[in-house]
Amino acid sequence: MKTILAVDDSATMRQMVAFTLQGAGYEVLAAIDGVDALKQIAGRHVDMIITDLNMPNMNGIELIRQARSLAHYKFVPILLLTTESAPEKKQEGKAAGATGWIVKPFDTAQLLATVQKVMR
Amino acid sequence: MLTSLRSAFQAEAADLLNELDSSLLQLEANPADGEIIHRVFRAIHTLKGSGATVGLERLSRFAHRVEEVFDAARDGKVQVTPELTDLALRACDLLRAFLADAEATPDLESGTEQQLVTALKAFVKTETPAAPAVQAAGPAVAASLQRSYRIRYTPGLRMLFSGNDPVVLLTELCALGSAHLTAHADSLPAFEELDPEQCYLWWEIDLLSEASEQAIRDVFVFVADECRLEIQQVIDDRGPGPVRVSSRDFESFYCEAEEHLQAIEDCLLRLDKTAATPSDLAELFRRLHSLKGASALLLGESGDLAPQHPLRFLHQMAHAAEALVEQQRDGNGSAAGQMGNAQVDNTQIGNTLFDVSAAMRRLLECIDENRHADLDPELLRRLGIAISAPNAETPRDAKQIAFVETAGQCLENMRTCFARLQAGEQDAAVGATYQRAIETLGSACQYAGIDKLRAQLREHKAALEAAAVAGDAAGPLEYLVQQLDRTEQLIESARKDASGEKAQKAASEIPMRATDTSSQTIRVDHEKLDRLIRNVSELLVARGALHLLARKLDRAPGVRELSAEAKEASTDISRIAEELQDAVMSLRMLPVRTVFQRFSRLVRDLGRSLGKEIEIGFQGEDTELDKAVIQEIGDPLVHLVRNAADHGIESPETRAANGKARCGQITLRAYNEGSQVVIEVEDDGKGLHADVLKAKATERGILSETEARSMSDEAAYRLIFAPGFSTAEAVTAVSGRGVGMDVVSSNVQKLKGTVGIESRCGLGTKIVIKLPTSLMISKGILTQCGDSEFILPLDSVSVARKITASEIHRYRHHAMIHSSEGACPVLSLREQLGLGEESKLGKESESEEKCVVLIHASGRRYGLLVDRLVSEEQVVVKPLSGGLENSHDFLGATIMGDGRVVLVLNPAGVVL
Repeated sequence: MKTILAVDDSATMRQMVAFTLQGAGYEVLAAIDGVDALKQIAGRHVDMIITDLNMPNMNGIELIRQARSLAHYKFVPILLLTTESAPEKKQEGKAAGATGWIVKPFDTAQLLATVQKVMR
Repeated sequence: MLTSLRSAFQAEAADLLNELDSSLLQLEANPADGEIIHRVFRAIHTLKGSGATVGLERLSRFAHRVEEVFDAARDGKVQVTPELTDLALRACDLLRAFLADAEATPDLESGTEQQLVTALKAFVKTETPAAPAVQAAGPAVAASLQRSYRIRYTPGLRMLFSGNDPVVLLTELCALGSAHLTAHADSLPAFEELDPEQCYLWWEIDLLSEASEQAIRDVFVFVADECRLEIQQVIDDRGPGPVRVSSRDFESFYCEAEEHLQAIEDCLLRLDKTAATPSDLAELFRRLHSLKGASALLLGESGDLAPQHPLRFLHQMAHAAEALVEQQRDGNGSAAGQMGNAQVDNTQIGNTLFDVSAAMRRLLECIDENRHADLDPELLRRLGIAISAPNAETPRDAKQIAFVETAGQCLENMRTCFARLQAGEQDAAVGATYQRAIETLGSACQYAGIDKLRAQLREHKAALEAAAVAGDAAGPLEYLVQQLDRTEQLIESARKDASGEKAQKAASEIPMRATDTSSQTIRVDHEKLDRLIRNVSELLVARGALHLLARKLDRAPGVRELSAEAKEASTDISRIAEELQDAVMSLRMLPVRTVFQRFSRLVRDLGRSLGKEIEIGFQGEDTELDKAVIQEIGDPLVHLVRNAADHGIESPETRAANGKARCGQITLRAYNEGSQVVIEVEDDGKGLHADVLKAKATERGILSETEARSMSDEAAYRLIFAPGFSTAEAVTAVSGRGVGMDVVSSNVQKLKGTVGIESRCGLGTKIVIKLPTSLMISKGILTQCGDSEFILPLDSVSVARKITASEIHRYRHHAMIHSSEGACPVLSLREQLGLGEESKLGKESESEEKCVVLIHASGRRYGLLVDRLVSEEQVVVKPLSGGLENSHDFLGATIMGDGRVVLVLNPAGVVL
């Protein structure tokens, strides 16, 4: 079973992401911010990370940057949750190493489609 | 799932909003603190995103407005001023309102919203992005033609480092249709120089697919910037595709459209010169509507057209222009007061419409010549904006109008199709058009909420399917035409409903417009209201006098007719006086919502400071109470909710250990019960423990041990209302000083209410406050005791009946009686008030008849012995003065119909 780490400071979003992906047969881990996420992926493998952009302690961009610097996360797909109002954030995310992005608000179908699109 | 998500969001959003509140207050003190600005931004950003995810679009949209401002503030483009923080705080309040409004009431606070949005926009000077142009309105088209593409894809060298993978992309691409891949390895470096983590290959793909070029590009959307992607459509179809109808049909459409366009231009020219007359606007509207209908019909018949087909644009433009004119037409009728504004809009709309008609002409040419249309995006944008103007929520009657118009068109299409089916045309397109008409009508029904027709349409559709299978067989066609007639009938009745409703509405609105439609409430000086109420009270007293007079006349000899008339007049006046009383009293009534509102915040804060998870729920917030009561009940409720949170709800760990949900629930509930309003504060916490309460009370010397032993659980619960009593192990910051509940009980008594407690150990506690609906007028029983008369408030009386002395039992020195609710103590009013000793309790002869009134007050139940029950009376209780105001025995005095002054007993005080 593929494992996905959902990183978001909003419980609603975490719940929505987890609910949707679990329904599609993925195992879902949750982290509340970048620091928490790094803690969780340290020393274990996840198949994908989905992270929000704006979070306390460590934001999504920094998380991506740090995850990419870890040897075993060099090629793991990382999706960034952004809003339509921040196209330049998409670029920033890409530059940091994001695989792709999901524009908020999104529905469960969009989320699944995007996850399946980049999941290896 | 959405509901559970939504409740999770509710809780989260409430937290975020409170966090926002405090951040904004901090920001007000330190307007330049980037960290706080960032915090504010993040909170509002999360609200927006999560709100949209759970489908709260309005909240999300509004949050977006606020976010924009703070985004700009973050970048230093906007200065944080006290005005901005103030505005943001008000925005928080509005967001709270949206959050509380689960039903998404369209007109909820829309005035405030508009005002705030305008103010917020003023902070961000930059233009907001253009509203999307006219959306493709027609059903999405799936091109039936497979197209052949030649694609070259060269990934970026470092593609793998972004977590993307060419294999994944190519697999996705191949899924679009049938593909032939060729990999090119000509860029591979020499082996020594090869870096296995880089992508050196490139591909050529021949793809046969129904997918559009955009769909193919979408496959590569995440790598578009780093790769080279060329897509060629091998067979290039130049035109948008001809309209696939017979040339005769197209010819007639063309002529019709041209005629409409000509008429539209004529109308516009006339409107340009003079002020808009209703008939010109109506004509314009009708023409645009017909044009829209005609193009929709053609669209339906010509099957699959490209999304960018000029015919689609023509249809959309006609639709958009029609909407514009409709707004104008409906707006001009009512907005006489805003003439200045209307003028400006008129010119703007006029210009837009000129452009539209010119564009539509060009589109018509394009359709004729099978060319792609070259449209002015600015015009499309303007139309988009005009369509999505502020009043996005369509009022019900507008929905009905829209329905009637759509329905007419659909019905016409159905009839045409039916005629063709009947004529034996076996064209599948006819069936499809028919079906589309049914579906359009179906969605129109859904939109307008006409369920009956919608249900019938399902049958209609089935009939059509049967007819399509059977060809020109007579039976199914017969059935189909029956359905068609039935549909027409239903449309007709819906049409009548709509116009009837509109006419009624118009009629009722005329007097409203004469005054001021905007003010539905008037502020009245409290003093004036009280004077009115005093007058009504006196009227009620006078009514009593009239009633007495009528009864006297009844007994007088020889005036039978006169007496009958007087009685009649008395009855009339009674009725009117009672109605007047109700009306006047309702003026003083407010929904308890005004009190309940503050508790969400309170409970949240309490939960935080106590380290507990607590939710508060409300029921019956619309229950109304006298304004004076509303003002007084707030404090007692705060005490009760605090106690529930502090003493009632357990810590999450304890709750979990006891098999309860971690999150404790407090419910505030209000409802009417007779002439009383009941307010309950219920928690699902640990409940009260009678033995613990008794032990505490003995320890504090409130109770002797003997008393404690004989005390019932219910009575033990009431101990928490005793002054100086607290069960908390420690005095916490929240409560526990033992004054709260004492205050509750005395405040409620001041309001002439009672407090009761129900509790189940381990399951929770419910405090029940019963309050008189109104402080001013109440019902009472006039009783006689010796030479004196008293009023007993009816609210506290459960039973009143005659009783003989033999029914009074004695136990030690207590007198008891049996009632339907079990044994209860009896007191003599005479003794309690010290009204002479002539018939002391227990000394009366066995057969002497007395009256007993069973009273419930402050959770106690007792019988009160009086000599006689006289009558039930409407009384206006006036406060006592001159040394009597502190009397426990009396609530006040009232004036009877004959002018006598009678004291009103305080059922809770008399037994003290």
